[in-house]
Amino acid sequence: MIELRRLATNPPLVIGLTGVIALLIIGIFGTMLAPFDPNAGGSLIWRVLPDGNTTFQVPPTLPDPDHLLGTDSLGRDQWSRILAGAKLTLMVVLAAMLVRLGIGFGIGITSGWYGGVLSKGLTVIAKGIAAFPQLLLAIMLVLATKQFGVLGFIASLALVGWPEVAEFVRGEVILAKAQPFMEAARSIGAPGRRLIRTHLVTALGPHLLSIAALESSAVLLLLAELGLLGLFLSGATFLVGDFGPLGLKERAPEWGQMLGTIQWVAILFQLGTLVPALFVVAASATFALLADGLRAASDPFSSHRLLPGTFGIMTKALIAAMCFSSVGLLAANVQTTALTMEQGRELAAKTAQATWPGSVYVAGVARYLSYATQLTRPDRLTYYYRNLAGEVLRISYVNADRLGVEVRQYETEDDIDFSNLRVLPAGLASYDRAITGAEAAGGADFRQGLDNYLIRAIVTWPPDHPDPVYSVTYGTSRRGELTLLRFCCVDARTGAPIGTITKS
Amino acid sequence: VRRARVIGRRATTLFARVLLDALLPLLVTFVVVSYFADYRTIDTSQLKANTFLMNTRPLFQVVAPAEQLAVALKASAILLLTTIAGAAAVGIPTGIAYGWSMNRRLKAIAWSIGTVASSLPAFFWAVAVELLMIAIYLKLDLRFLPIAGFGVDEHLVLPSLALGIRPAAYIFRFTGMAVEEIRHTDYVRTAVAKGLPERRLLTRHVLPNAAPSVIAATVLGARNALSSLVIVEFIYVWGGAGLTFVQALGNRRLELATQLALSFAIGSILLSLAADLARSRIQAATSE
Repeated sequence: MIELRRLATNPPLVIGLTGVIALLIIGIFGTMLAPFDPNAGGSLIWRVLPDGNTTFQVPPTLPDPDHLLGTDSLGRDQWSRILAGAKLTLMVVLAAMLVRLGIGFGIGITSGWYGGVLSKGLTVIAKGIAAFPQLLLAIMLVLATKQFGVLGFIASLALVGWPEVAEFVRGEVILAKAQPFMEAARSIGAPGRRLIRTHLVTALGPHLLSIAALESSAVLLLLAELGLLGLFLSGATFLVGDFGPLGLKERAPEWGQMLGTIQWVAILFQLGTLVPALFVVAASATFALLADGLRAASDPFSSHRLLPGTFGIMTKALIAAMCFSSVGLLAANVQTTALTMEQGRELAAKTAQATWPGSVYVAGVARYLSYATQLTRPDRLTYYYRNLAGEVLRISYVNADRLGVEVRQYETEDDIDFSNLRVLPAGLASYDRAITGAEAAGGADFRQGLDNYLIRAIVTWPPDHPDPVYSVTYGTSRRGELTLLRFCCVDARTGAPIGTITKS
Repeated sequence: VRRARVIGRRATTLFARVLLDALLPLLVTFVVVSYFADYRTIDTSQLKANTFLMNTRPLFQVVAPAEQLAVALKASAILLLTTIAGAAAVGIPTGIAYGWSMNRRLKAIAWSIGTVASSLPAFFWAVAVELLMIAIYLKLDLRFLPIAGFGVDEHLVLPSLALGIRPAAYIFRFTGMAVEEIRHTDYVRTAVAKGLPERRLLTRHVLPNAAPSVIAATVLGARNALSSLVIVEFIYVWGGAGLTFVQALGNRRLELATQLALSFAIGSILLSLAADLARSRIQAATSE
């Protein structure tokens, strides 16, 4: 009871704790709490008026009773997207925070404990990293680690900002080393391992949680800044950029991605665009408040202090919750390897049946861009579905990542004539053998020295072929002039070339 | 001979200091940048696709590729200096007034404003102010401050405002805390008891002793502004080092990106060296 009363005198801790627990709950149950499907958009928002008439608005719309925070420019409910996006966002933030703390504590303890040349060297490295503005280094890291998908994004959030943690820990270790209890332990002959494990950890323990909260806040802000720049994670770290009719394309909901769309719709309505930014800032402030409160609660000379036992239990519970939610969600959601053509087709088939029931799979494209890392991972996997009216649905997996999905109706981007293609069967071979074949047959020479090219491996079943086939096209444009090179053909069932691959 | 030896020792420590604090860290940054800004490792399709960002520059400013580095650094330096000067001009007087004032309620209000301002990030202020300006223009048809573009005129107002709120709050809080603490020290009490006029008390005793805190806060604010520079320049399309860096990466001009990243690192290292120097000078001066 006394503990509870003392807790009540420390409003930052109370607000921070409640807020963080609420965030974790939203992160875990957000998808269920969302009133609308976060990915379901529409070109018109219908509403029934009190007098029985219906009216409609063109998105983005302002908040109204149905859509509490309005809709974005694809007509998707903002509140649902915030709830559903919390999962991915918090997962990434907590995981990045844990890695950052791991690096910071590891380097800080090593350099503080051993001292000497090792300490000097580590300090120099830390200073070198800290000399970059965090965002600058994070941009470069995100671009360099794109091929690792979510893990790369987490790494790029975690590999910046650790020098500050390391510096703080180093100072604390040097202080703790000189404490009488440490000297006493050493004088009775405790081995160094034991000194670190029991005494040093006990001395650092109270700081651990408040640093964790502070770093979570910092990582969240970094994620938001990257999002504003257009670098965000939706499974794939990818961008709003490439303009379609509406300017944006569908991605898995995530707070950084919601921020990425701010500037495109700022002219249309101002309040609603600020909503994701407000959420990110509020969440980050919650973490910062928790850190403040924890620091006061762990300070033995403060009037807000909690008993070490209570504090210890709280620390363990919170750390466990953070580890569990980040690692658990990661394990459930993340697959870093590129999708194969077949895995992508299985995923796309579900989407196609949900969007246009009865549509059939007629073409698949794996495309590579010169701006992406060399031919290690497709820039985009695309599946075309045709309905009975002959209209086309395009489902793309950006960066060959299962979370980076785009669904577009009535739109193609690969110049395929869909009118008389046969339906493709399940269980076709993947795109890589077609690409290697085309590279060997002259593709590699073609793109040598070109700074802008596009490679597509297209699987279709033209009526004049007995089997579905892969063909590979190389394209480059110079001053608006398009050069195309086409290689044919690879059997899509076996992956073996049909005859020799020839240019045309 | 002894004097020469002292000078020699001083030179050695200075050299070691510069080596450890500046040269070797710069070497580390150079290695890191040249590793990442490599055509083979970096994947810029994500930035390239952002046409909104990539094609803005010619609209506002036409610069020859060779001069881009110098122009960008100059634009950033203008923005940063304005920001820090503005933040100090706001933060220091209000901080002194806070520390000197006896009005508890006013002080509590000022402190909470400072806390909120120091905890909200620059990108939030930038976006919020930009949206506010758009809203004002659309609703009231008023058009008083530009929200995009470079120019040493009214274009400077919004970026430096967005960038400067947080440093100003830092300076206000640090100065306020230092002045309040010094006001209750023995030597100030003695000076008051001896009947020193208030202005003299402030200029002779309080301010010199508060100076290390003010400098620390200014450096903290400057580092903060430096790290938020990229995002603020991006939002306000200010053609400085941050925006140019992002554009250079997106257009795969990696040499330019490397040079800009290294200039950021050099700037931030020089900043901390200058702060150390100023702090030790002031400490030496006050202890004499």
